[in-house]
Amino acid sequence: MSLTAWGLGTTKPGRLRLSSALALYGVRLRKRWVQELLAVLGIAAGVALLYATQVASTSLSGPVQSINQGLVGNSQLQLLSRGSAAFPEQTYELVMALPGVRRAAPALQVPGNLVGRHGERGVTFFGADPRIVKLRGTLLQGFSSSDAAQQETLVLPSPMARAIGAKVGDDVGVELAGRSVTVPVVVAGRDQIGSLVDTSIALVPLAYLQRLAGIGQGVTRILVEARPGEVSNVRRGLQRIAAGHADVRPADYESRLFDESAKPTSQASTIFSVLSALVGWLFAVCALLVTATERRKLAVQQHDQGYPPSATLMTLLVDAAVIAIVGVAAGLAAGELLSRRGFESDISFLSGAFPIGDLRIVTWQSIAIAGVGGLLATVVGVLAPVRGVVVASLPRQLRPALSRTTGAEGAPPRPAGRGALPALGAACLAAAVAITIAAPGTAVVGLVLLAIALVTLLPAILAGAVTVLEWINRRGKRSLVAVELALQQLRARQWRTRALAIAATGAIAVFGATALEGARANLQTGLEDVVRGLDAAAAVWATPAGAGSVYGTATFPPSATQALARLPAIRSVGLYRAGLIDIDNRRAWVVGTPRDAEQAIPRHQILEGDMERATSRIRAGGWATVSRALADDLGLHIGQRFTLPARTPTVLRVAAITTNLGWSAGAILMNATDFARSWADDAVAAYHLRVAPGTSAAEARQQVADALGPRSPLRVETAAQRGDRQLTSALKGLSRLRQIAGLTLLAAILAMTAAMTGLLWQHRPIVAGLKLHGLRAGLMWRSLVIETGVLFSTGALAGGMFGLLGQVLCTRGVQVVTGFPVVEGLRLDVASATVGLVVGASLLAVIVPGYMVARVRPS
Amino acid sequence: MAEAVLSETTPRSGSPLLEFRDVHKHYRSGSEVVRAVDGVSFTVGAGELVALYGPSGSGKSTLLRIAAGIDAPDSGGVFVNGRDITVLSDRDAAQYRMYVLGWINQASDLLDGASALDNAAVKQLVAVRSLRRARRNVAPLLEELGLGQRLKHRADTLSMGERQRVMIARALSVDPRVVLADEPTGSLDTRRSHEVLALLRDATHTRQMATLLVTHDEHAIAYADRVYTLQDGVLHGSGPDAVPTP
Repeated sequence: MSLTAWGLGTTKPGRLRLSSALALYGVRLRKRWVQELLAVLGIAAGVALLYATQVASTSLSGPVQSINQGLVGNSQLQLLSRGSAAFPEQTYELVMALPGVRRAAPALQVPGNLVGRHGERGVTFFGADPRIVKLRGTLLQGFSSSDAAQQETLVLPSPMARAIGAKVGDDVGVELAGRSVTVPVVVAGRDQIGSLVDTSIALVPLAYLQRLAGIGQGVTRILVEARPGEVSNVRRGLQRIAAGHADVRPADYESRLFDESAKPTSQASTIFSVLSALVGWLFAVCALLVTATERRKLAVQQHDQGYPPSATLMTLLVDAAVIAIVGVAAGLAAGELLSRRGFESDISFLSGAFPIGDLRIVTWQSIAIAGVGGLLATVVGVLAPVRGVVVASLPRQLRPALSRTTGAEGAPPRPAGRGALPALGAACLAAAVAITIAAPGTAVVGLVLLAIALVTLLPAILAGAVTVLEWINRRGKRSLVAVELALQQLRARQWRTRALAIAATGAIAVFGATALEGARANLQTGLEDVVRGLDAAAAVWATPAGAGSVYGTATFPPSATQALARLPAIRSVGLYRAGLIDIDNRRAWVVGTPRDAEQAIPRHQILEGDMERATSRIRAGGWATVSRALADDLGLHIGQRFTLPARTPTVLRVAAITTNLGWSAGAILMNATDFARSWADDAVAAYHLRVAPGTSAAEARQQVADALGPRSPLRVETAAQRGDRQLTSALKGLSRLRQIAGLTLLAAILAMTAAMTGLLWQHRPIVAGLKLHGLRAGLMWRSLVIETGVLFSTGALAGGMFGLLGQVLCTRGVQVVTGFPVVEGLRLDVASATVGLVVGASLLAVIVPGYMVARVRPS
Repeated sequence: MAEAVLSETTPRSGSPLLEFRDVHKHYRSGSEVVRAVDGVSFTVGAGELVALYGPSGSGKSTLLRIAAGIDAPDSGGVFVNGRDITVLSDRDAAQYRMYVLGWINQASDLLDGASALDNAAVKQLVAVRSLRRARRNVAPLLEELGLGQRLKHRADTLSMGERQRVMIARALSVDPRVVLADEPTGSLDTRRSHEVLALLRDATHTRQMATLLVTHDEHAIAYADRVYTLQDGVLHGSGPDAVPTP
């Protein structure tokens, strides 16, 4: 191909016009558009994965921040009730009277349940009036009319209304605070309530909600906007008003609490995002390596025709720019689609405690990270195979140093350089092991180190695998010819970069999935343990319907106690109390278990202390168990006194240190009588029903349900049924991890398959040559499949092995950082299933292309 | 099958080992018909090295591919020890190339990841199904070809001359009856060319093979027992005089 024949001359020696480089690209594109399309698709897929995981990660805590900001507007401070107990609305007058207060607004937040024609939904009722509009919260402009504030209606976000089958003007069932009523609804879309439309918040006029909840003139929050420079004075004034019965917090306090509660989910999402990004990036590099041979040929051709290295570099950079622009644009579009359809956030397990939503947050950083990642992958993929040209185009003084390390310009790399990669890998591995043993709290750093170790040690692992297979194949009297041919191909230098990129893609994907899926499985086992343990305290439970009942954040007055106690199937009725309380930056879960509960403390949850002793102390009163992270934050140890900042501050002693009982921010467990004293409230979260001898739990459940009646807002469940529901809710927070793991594996399989197909395609001349010597198509096909299998298996097995170490690290990290009830165990089942899936799926995908390559005519 | 192919190609005394009988192969290029091979007939006997001389595009490579059972002629036949190899099935043609034929290419088609010894042993490996035995069998051959010190060197570290000798060793490793050499000296300097051609001639004579050497290297003619010229698909003359004066 003569370049000068196309008029693609240089403007002056050493310079190639951009237009000429573009024209040259166009000419070459016509000849190899399929390969270029594959490269663009590879970049697009990598960018899409990177973008979608970034958006998923940002969208986790973004909605809470966004919604909170939209609710609190310009307020800087808030007076916040302790637990779910409200304080008098008249406090508002006291607040407004404080010097320095510009505006304030009362609000009432109550968890409950909505029942429509098509189903029911857990919901947070948010009550406010026109005073809140003056704070300029962007989401509550609907309260501006005093008429609207007086109406006895609910404003439902349209998706929620659709989900329960409610239309404007319909009556829906409202279950809250142990009451059940029907209320007409207004359905609002994004135009009316902004991002509230993506939440499970129902807006209610304050006075109406107070009536529905039966709490007179109570409110749970007073939002306060101070005049400039007066925030400190106002805070002091609010603290005087709170007088130890309520808390004074920053207006964005909810966001901070949420961040702490969602930490395990967000941390795991971050780790997955990093690993997905790595897989996406490797995917893109793999795809570009498909065209590496063509680019090498071009570089040689231009060199032979007298092009200076800088002109060749320009040609290649134009290649990279065109592929990057098209690939990144397509990738961002595909990523947007993926993030809308694939990564639906589900953190509804926290909906009983926070006004969360399904809002998708797209920041410029997400776009930039994905775009730059794609660009970087393109440049590396284009230039790495022709690094000699890159080095030659550098200023002379830089060349020797670079060519020593890259082996460019034909110089073999120094032995020291060859050993540097395994040495780096070994150092990273050692550091990760040290973190696992000594500092599992820094699990994210450990996982990144493990990933680096895996990639840098992979060349040595692959070489080792080939050597071992050679030894096995040559040990006996007969060798498998197909294996021998495959191993010889794996030793060939011309394929090494691509083979390693393919193996690395699989290794990283399997590593991530094994590590995090294993840790998730351990966490799930731990959660099952705690949930079953808590529920085993009573055979039958009666709790308010809706998400709030899972952690007992929805309460009701225990008016049916006597009636239930008289039922023949019931031996005794216990009053179970629970609620949330804000301690520093944690919204802790407080459990008040009945004194006569068969098992006051769930089994296997005590990390420090004696089960029997702690149980008797809890029953006696004045003692509580505290979860590890909370105890560490407060500097508590067994026997030490601490004050529970409830509505009535109560002094308790630490009976034992436990796991967090499945609530990420931390848990405190005491007896229900102490709970009622602290909360200054007799409301309960559940009836704890013990069954009479000879009666089954199912029979007792039926009797209780019949006694409460069909219109009761209470849900009656056996311990097993309640456990299933709680687990479903608790495990939802981890569902995103499964989605990302699945997509990462899928992307890895696609990347490996596409790159391997390209690699096999380039084997055609060799296959044709061997067939010329009489080697048959079947033998060549088997050899290609074995070559692929060895490559995939080595990458996946290495990933699986490192993934098992990652599992231990992650499991211990989650345990230490969050105090979750994790059961430590090596999930070999997860590792083997992941390895099997990646190897099996990828192998299946290359069987047909391998067959086509093997059918090439001898030549 | 291998045994069948072998038994039928054992040389019969007095008959030519390789025989082309009125072979035609035409291609259509647009409206034009290219006569790549046009009625070629000649024989190569056991222990005989025949050179087929001709410029590029004269039809030499097409004739070789037909003789290797890769392409089929439009008419005529190629007989190896009396059996027409142009009618073999793909499977039998592969067996024929494996056990009866030795092929030597101009350009290196060695496996870069494998040593000189393993490259030479590729055909033996299929035959004996033991790399150890295959290596043992071909090592003396490589030593005979002057590569005793380079047995364990990877193919990509060998010189062009050494690679060519490894390819010869590979072709000879199964003791073939027929050897087809396609421009085996095309990428070698003069000294190396003479070495390779001498090796090929000696092997042909000592192993009683029928060797067909396709070349446009005039030096090669001196090593041939007979020389033909192929011009536009048509075979001309025999003997040293068949080569036109440059």
